[in-house]
Amino acid sequence: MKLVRPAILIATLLAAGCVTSSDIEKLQSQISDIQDQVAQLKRTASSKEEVQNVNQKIAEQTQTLLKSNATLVAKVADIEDKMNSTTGSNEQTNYKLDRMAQQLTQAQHDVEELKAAARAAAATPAVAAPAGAQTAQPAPPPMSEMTVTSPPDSGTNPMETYQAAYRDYQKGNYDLAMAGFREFIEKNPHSEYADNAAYWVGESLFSQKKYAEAIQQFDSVVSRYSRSDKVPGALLKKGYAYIAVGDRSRGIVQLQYVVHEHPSAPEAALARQKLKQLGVETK
Amino acid sequence: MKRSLIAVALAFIAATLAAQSQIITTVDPEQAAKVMKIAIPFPELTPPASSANAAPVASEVIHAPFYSVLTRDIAASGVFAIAPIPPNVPASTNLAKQIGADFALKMTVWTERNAQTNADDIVVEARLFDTTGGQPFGKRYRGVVASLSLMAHSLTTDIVRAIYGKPGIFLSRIAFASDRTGNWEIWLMDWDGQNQRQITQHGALSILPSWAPDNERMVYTSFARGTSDMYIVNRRGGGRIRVPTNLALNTSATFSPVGNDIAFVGSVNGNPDIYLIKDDGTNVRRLTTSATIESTPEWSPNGRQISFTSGRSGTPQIYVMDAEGTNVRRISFEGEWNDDAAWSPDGEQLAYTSRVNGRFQIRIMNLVNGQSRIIAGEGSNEQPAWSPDGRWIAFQSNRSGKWQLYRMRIDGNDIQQLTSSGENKEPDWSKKIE
Repeated sequence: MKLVRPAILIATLLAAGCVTSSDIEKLQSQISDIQDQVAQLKRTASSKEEVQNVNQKIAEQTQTLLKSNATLVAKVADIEDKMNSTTGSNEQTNYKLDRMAQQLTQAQHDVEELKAAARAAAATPAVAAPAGAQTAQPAPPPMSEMTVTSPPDSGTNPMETYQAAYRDYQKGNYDLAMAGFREFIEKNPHSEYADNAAYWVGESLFSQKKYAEAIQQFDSVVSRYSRSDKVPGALLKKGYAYIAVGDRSRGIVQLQYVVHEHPSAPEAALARQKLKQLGVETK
Repeated sequence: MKRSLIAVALAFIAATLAAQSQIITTVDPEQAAKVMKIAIPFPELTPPASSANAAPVASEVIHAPFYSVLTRDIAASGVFAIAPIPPNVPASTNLAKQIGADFALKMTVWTERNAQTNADDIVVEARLFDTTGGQPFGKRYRGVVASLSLMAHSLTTDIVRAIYGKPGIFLSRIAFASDRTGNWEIWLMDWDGQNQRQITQHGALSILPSWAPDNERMVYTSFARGTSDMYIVNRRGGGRIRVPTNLALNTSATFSPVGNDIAFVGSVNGNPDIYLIKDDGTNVRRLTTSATIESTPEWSPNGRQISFTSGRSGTPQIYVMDAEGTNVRRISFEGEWNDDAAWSPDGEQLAYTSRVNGRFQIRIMNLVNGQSRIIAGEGSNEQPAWSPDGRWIAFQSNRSGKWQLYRMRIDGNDIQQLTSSGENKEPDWSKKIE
């Protein structure tokens, strides 16, 4: 599944940015107005009473400024909340689309099967009985001849292979899971789940502590699906795998790469933490 | 109290009868969907002539704590149904044949003086007859009167294992928090709600118990020191240690099913996130870094995934990540508020609390195909916990006006109230089938 979230985040941030910066500009111009007034009064005022008045005025203005500042903070918090729920409803929409796409794939699959069945049925000649004739119908061909030949790659629905592999992964049957995910990738190289399947192969190897193979697999996730949202995770896991086999220096380089390449991904925070644990300073 | 429990455990010696010669036939669990009928007459109370120091036992002594517990377990087993029996006919192959049952369970119970403890032990001898004259199961159980229910659970477990091929969960236990003493403390009960006993005595808020995979230890949160800390205690209430962290909160702790990691909710500067720590308090690792609230971590059965609740999408929803904090994905999309996820023992399903039309209900989500269903019940129903065989769910409900614990089958049937004293919450079912 591809990254959709950042685009929305940026759009929301831009919208948020407009509101806050214009408000801040307004505040700043108000402040400089007051500063001008104070300077003017200082120059012209002579009596203590006037100074008193100015002080009063400044206090009032400050109060107003503080209030509008608080409003701004509240506004920012509100925008953050809205951003979160936008992300949430976007996730929900994506989920619904995913499900619809799955249903569509299933429907296409069913149609293909039906078509194949229809073709096969058409191939066996149905003998129409002549009108009026009730007997002497040719005996139906034996069952074996009626067998519907299935189209070449029907059999199982692609998502079934993926789901069975995921089920095996959850049960800890990592070898079976890998076989299933690999079969899925082979048969559906352009599926939007191909990157997920490749990641799960890496994760299965990682779970089995086969770190050298896991590193290779995570590499292939990154090279084959460079735009996938699984990339930061694969890069990070690669770093963890290096450290697990005792290759500290390569591990550190890998983690630093995650921080550098995907600074805003949650994986960067995990990488920074791991680096800190290893005694390596990060920016 | 504690000591007597240990004594029970020690005194509990079961000897397989020499008479058992039949090879145990196991039944494919898938085939056993057909329930078998079993006749269970009340135990015979005449001691065998061969046994020295044996004396008869009164039927009242064994009725409630043994016979009722046994028949309830058998009825709930999903493997057997109890066949109605004519009065005063001893259990035998003939009885099974006569009433059209598959098995008849013959039990003989008596007391015997224990030379070491100088007290009377109860002895139960059980033989299972089939309709061919065979005896697929036979075993003798010995224990003090207080352990009669434990003997009944053991016998059912053994019979189910002998016939079904897999043991039942009748020896499993449910940990929970109860305020019946005036303070919230950690308590424990048998799977049927019997034998409720207090495990902690902090005299301070102690909540959220969670079993270790060995069924021996539990981790929980207590305010015993005035701050909220994690503690580990064994199931007899002993061996208590505090798991030190430099964080606040320290709640929702849960043991990894593999290794010695504990996942928990910790907080720095008031922002709760999911952390890992070794059970000796070393090697703290932060797994989530979101600015929103993350809570209630739960390990997948293979120990490679962690589910948790996060507010990152605006409302609390269930997410799953790898055990390293990577590969985070949202799992729950239906319901405006989802929390308290628990993995089924096969790792295929998540049960969680889901708010639907303003009311909290238990939802079961199939992780493989993403389908979910609500198990509707009265009141608010929260905090689901799976039985170790994945056939039952324990949960808390306020349907009676107070928070109490209940148990139901995963299809929502056979609901049974387990607690009634004070208020009771946060059930966690022991993990391993014994």
